[in-house]
Amino acid sequence: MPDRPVAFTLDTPAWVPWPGIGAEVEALLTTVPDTSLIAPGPKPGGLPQGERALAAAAVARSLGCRHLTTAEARQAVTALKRDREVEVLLEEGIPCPLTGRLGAVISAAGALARSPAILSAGSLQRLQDDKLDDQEITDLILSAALTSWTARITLGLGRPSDP
Amino acid sequence: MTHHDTTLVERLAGVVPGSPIDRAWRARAEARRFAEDAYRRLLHPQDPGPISLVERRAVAAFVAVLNGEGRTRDHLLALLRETDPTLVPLARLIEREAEDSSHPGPYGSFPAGPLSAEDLDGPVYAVSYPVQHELGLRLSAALEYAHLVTLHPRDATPDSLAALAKAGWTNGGIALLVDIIGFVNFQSRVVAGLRSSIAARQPHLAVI
Repeated sequence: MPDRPVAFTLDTPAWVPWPGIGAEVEALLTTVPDTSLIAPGPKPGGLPQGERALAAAAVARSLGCRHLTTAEARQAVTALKRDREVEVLLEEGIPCPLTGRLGAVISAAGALARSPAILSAGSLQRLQDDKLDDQEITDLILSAALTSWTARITLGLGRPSDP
Repeated sequence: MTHHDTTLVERLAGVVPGSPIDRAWRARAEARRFAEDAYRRLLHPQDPGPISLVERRAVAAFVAVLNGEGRTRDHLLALLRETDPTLVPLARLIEREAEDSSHPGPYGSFPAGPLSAEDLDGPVYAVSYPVQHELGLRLSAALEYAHLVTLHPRDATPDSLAALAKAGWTNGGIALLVDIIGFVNFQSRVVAGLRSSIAARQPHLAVI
């Protein structure tokens, strides 16, 4: 490992597979899930895209995947325009000191990133208090679970390609 | 693709047809179909290819036990046992190995620097010699990798893949292996989350 400071930032480190496994990973990456699978259907509603990305970033941050954390955090910043809150997640990680709706989303996603994953009655109550409905909570669960899958592929097969 | 009336997620989460959680889950048709197709593709493959059916299901059961979501665990242990009647002892061994090596995750270390304050200690799983004798080198290496990627994935290095290669794993097999590990991590979390959502609507029912 290089002995340079490493932190979670909004500067996307690209991802490169470990030496020797490139071709097989290319094939695998075509079937890897991502949070676009939670696209809203014909009906309106559901967790806004920025909050889906924020939940995904919280999971990737918790697992230690800098590539996915950055990619999702950038989407969250673009969609939410809440740069400071996203930076707090990047800097502080899980548990995250943020309050309010974004804090509730991050906290629940962080709990789902754990093994064993737990969405406690208290977490659910906090989400409901912050006006998340059943569809939004279901989307949050999906976003966290899909990222739990994808981040294990990126961490298990490669590393961020820092300069 | 086939139309799925009910998927594994619904069966394990106990989603009641027509309930609010059922409507919310089914509204995400693409994710729902993706999850079911992945289950079929990875654990009921028509052509197992570079990773045998037993290996696939043994790794999946091991990861499910590590993750501690009861319904997913029971289902994947049963799936391993049902693969072949002679596999009952293997399923018992996989279950015991996972239980004995389980630890709250995620843990692991970051490269030295500002994040070192977040380093968390936890066990590095290494299959013991007598168990390795029973499982064989290939499956032993797969379980060690599955433990790493499930509970402390940030500790993965090129050496992790080298250990698999040394035990006879091809790159194609490794790609499928990590996909199976990721899938069971996904499955355990969707089921845990949906079960909690359902239980919260029925406070008079005990959560089992």
